[in-house]
Amino acid sequence: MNKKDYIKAVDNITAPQELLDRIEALVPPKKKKIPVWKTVTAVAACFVAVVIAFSGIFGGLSNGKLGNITAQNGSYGNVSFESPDRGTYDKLFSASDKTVYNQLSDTMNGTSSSVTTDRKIVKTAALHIKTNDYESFMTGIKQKIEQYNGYVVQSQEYNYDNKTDRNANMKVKIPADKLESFIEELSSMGTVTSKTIGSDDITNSYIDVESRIKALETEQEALLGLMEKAESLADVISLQDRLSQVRADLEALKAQKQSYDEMVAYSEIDIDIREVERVVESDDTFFGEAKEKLMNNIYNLCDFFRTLAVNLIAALPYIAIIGTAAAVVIVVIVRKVRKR
Amino acid sequence: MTVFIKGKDAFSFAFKQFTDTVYRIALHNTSNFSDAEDVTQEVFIRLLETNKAFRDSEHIKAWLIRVTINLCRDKMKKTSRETLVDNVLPLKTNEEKPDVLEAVKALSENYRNTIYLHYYEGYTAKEIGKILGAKESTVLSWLSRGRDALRKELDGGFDDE
Repeated sequence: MNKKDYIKAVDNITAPQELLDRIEALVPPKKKKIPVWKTVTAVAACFVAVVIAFSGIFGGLSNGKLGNITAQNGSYGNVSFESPDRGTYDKLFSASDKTVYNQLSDTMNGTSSSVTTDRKIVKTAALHIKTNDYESFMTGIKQKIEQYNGYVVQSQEYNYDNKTDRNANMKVKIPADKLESFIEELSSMGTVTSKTIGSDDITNSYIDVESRIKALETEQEALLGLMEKAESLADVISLQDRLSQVRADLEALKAQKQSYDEMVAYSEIDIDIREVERVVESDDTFFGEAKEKLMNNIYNLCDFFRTLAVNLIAALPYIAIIGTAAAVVIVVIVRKVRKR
Repeated sequence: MTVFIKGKDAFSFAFKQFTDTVYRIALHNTSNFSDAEDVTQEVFIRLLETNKAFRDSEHIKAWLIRVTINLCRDKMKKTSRETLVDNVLPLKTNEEKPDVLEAVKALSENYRNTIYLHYYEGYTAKEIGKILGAKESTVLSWLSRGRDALRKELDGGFDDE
């Protein structure tokens, strides 16, 4: 009887009202409705902001791209010309050096015209592909990568010693101008279940790096020229100081430019390859769906018979033993019956 | 298609449906009312904080039960370390015969929770196993051992009749 008492006793336990209140208070109350005038003001403010932004962009564009470069380099120019070495520069500059100085500042201000202006786009893509012929797909893809002068950055294969459900993940670099046709060719080799192509415009950062390299190179030349004319040891030391700093900066910037070039020249593609027993094209119409389901069932039926056959063959040794035993028993029984 | 419920929706649903369940389990696994209330509140705070998406009400309930038991365990560890001897209230004192509820509470953690979940909430051994993370056979043995222990404590045993 104690079970009923227990249930009754537990029934009597209910959370006290004070606790319920505490828990209910955990959720912050719903936000108050925002008055209409606030909404109107907010919308108007957004509109004004958009108008200002647009006029800013178009105003900026009318100044041309080089205008942007000037802005980017302005800060750099300040750094180098207001450095403590300025005194040295001034002392060392003679009238004939003024031209070098002017050239230098011209470059710093970006009036030099040799800066890249075509767009630098980094393209990336991701593909999910299903195939029912894993091995030939994998050889095919490797051939295609070679054919397109691409290379594999990373490749992982799972379950590769099994003969079903294998999958692989590849990170591949392909020359950017051939990205589309590469993807098209891959698509024709298997069934693409998802395809993402993205691009990232790095023109601004690229131009920034390029013009900083230009400016630093000019400064390096100027510094070397000044070095030859330097008279006191202190001058040489301070010039050398600056020179080594410029060289280090140059190295870093050049490396960065190289990596940008690489990124622009080669597109990275993430390919996910999955092995399936058969690829089903989905069709949303009534008959299409019916056909798909019918094919599924026929396939399953075939699969069932196939499994059955395999198991029967596998069971042959047992069947042989049991069959022999059964035959012996039947023969014995038949003989007994006949004797009677 | 499965519709998932999460965040504040899960909270308000659980608050309406399962506050008593959580409180009852908390009372089974702590030594006094105030701890049980703290744990109950904490469980709902966890529910608000979690990003988990729940499939259905059973999923929420199972999650709440698991969290409640875990929080009670933490609470009891802390309490035993602090050796707090404040309002330790017996749930209900019945002078004539030992209280069933007290007897169940006196069992060890797995036994009492299994007894509660099976006899009060009506879960099967398999479901309890899923909630508590144990095998069905283990749950069955907890259940029978819990029943044996109760039989010793209470006259009349702990049977269906």
